[in-house]
Amino acid sequence: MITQEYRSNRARFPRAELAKYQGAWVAFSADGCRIVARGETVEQLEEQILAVGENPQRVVREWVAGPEEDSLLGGGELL
Amino acid sequence: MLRFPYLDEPLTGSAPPSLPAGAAVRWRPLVPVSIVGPGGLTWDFGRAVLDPAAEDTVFPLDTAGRIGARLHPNTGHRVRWRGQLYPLRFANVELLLTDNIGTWRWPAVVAFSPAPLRYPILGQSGCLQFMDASFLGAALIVELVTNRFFAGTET
Repeated sequence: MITQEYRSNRARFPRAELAKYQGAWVAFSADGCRIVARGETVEQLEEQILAVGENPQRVVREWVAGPEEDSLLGGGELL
Repeated sequence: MLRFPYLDEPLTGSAPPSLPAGAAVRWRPLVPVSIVGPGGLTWDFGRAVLDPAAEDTVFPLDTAGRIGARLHPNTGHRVRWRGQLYPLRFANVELLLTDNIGTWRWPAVVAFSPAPLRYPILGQSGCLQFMDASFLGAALIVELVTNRFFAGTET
């Protein structure tokens, strides 16, 4: 489960560091302090999580918006 | 009630005219969500989008296998995502939302798709049908309260 510790640390995660992962899926450590894996797709991310020896149930997955993601249209993108 | 402050996403270029000059981020109604398979395997996503315009709750297809979700027989349903059609497969799972004050967990039929989703989508079926949502545009907070259709647990 996602903890308050994760939320606090994730909110403070350096944007410059996060920018290195634009357009990719990443896995944060359970405490939100580190990015432990990345992948272009969720499938690749899951493979990387296992490859680096992390417990898939102890990471938090997130998409890092890329430079082409200027405006999210929500359900409109389904049309 | 669960309360979630909107989460910021950095702008990668200049702010569009629809935002205040000099804005560096967008604020979106993104919430952390956990999806639980029938054997208890739990996958955490840090940012899922609460979207009242989305008719289904949709996760990346790969997630289904990872949590051991048993997909329903293929119903042939599809979704058009950014102009392209992708299949939707459905499964019974549990979803978990917490603001670290309260925690809700409920059974849901959700969709899985190979569409390249940016965020898991918490749409009407499987999620928002069970709660009443207030999007507080000035405070940049979303407030959720369960409604009479919620059949899960609140702790």
